[in-house]
Amino acid sequence: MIVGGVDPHLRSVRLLEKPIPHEKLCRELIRLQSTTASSTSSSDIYIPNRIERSPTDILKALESTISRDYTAPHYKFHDDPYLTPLSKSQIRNYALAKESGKKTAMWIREEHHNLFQHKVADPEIKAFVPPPIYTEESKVTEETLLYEISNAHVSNSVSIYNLLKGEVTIPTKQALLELLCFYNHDEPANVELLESRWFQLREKRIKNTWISRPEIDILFQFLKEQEPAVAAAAYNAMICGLAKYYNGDKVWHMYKECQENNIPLCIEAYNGIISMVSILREGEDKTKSLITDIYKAMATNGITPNIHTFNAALSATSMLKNKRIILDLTCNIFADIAKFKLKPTLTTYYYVLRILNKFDDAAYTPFIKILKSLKEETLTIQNAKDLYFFFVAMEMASKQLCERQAGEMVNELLLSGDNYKFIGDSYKESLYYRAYLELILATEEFETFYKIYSKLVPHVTIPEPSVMKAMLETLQLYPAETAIQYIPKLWSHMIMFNHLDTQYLLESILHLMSVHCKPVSDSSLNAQFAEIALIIWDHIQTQNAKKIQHIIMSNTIVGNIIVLLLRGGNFDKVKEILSLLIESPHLIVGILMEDYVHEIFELCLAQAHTPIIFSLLEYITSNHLEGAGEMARKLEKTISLTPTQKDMLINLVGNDILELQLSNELNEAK
Amino acid sequence: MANPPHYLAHRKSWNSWNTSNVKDGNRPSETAVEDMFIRQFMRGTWHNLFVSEVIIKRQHNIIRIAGIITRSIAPYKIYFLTGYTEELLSYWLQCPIKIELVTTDSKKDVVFKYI
Repeated sequence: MIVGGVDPHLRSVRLLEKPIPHEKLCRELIRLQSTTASSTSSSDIYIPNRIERSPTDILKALESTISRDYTAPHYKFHDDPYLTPLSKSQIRNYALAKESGKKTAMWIREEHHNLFQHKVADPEIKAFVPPPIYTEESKVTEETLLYEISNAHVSNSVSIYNLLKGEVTIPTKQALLELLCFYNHDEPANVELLESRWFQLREKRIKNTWISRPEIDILFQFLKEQEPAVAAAAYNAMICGLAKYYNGDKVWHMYKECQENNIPLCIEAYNGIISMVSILREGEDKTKSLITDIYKAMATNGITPNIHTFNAALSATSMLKNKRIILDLTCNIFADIAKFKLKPTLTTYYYVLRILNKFDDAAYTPFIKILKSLKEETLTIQNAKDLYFFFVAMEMASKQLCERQAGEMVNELLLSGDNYKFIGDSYKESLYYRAYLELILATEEFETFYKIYSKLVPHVTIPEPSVMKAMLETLQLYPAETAIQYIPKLWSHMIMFNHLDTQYLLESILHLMSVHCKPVSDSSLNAQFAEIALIIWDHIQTQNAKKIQHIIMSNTIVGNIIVLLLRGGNFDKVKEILSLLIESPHLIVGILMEDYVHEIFELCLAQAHTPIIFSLLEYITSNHLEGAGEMARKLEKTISLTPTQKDMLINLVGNDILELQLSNELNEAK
Repeated sequence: MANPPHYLAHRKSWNSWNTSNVKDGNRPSETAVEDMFIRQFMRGTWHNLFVSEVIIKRQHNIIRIAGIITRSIAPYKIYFLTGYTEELLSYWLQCPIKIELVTTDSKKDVVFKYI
């Protein structure tokens, strides 16, 4: 056997082909000796079994060699500074713009379908060929109808059915009825338009959205007159469709009709009926008896329940209010699930979470148990409600339990395997990350939080104003040295994510800079903070110039801006702001608070900047604030004023105050 | 751009990357005509935006169209055109198309030599 890649014998033959200096030969021989020695020690070579690989395994292996780039945008965007989205709205706009382009191309293909009939691909690829259009002239058969039904083209199927004048076999009619019941009024969502689905806001309220179409009624009337098996299938289809669109009353009516006429129903129809129990609103006590009645009917008809039956029962239970009845019913349902040896799905756990939501802290142990049992399973999607599990779990961990460990378990579960597909859509994803970030912020040191935050933002999520507010408020609890490190980072994120229009965020960050982290007077931070204040002021002014309805700032925002500007030495801007406040006092809520007025005065006095002091005094007198006289006196004492300035001062505060002061001085002199 | 053909692979690279013209290559003439069509299409659809040549790369059944564009229109419009071009060209050529773009501030950034 050849060991170590090359047969030593062959190697030595090759060595002899060329004359080699003696020394070199020796070295080569020693090397060969060492290789043969090392390889004989492990003489048994184990040849592993062949591993079956899928076509994408090599891609996955390559992918595992690169680490994640936390600064890059999602892969659906171009990795180019100009084309990288920076805020939630931009993410949405860009993704949907791309899809809108796609839709435009689809529309063009549909409008000019005669131009796209060429055949380049061999074999033909269905996705690239324009969809057929059925008119009066087109030759259609029952096969075409069945083909369209199998592709779930609702409008095409109906028009072919009409072209055939309803002359089709009974199984085809049943298939068409099932299609119409399943989709009712809406066309199936195009699977290619992923972004529209991702950003779509789904109707959350449960209400009757069933629209009765004449085709459905005619088909159903026809089919229920046929032999019993056909009639049963028609009833099943109708009940499932009505339950899907929450038409509780009609479902119940049909169920009664079936019971009277002894029509056997299938398991899906029973599941639909159970899910309607909560909609019927028959009262709390009746829910239990209704569900039991349906169970009994199932048993007499010999129908074995599946997990969706119990999911439906749990959904009805989760709507109840009486905690005792809820506990009772839930325990019964879980006993039944165990009895029938069924495996709970994510939907089951979602409803359990909804029930646990009502039990405050007592929910902790079952919550952890659920997560532990889910950890060992490979999750498959079985129901639309599966997508609700993760964000509800994270919200519970964050708001109800406020337990870092629990939240981390949920997050681990979401990131393991390809569980991330259960995140649902963009709305649920942002709810999930909001809860996750808030949980970490509430339970961890800010430093640890910021590490996690910078991995998620802006790569995975963009914080909402409420998260940003929580972050700024948490920073106020830390000593100034810690908080100062994070102010520039958070400020740059606030600019990036367009948070400058949110007043409470501006208020928080200005408070942090001017009060909580007040730098010493000769610090270079003053200039930097003044710059931030200037950006905020300019932003508000440009917004005001654009809009007819002006932004009304709170007095603390303006006060803080002025103080920060003064500390940074930007006197001209302060003068401008004060004169604007005197001209149009309606731009702020209330008036500048006394503390700010005093600080502004002291800062100006220290710099001997009389013009601002005059503006300030004007502001005080025009708003009838107290303290003008005192300030005037102090001003006159500290700074020697020119006669014109003195005149202005008298004009502002009145002669008596200054004269009073003069007389005081005279008295003292005496 | 300012190089005659004999400088190909010396001072500049190819504008079309495919294996149609190797010995026993697949669809050589069709590929050439399709590339002409793609270039015309890009010139018309991305009007006055491309500042480089349109580079067409073919791998298996995928066609990747690359180039440098200016930032003269808003990003969302660029995304719209990307989606539109990818979809329409894949209907026409009946294979997956990808657009790979880099943006630049001004045309001058891609001028390397004045004659």
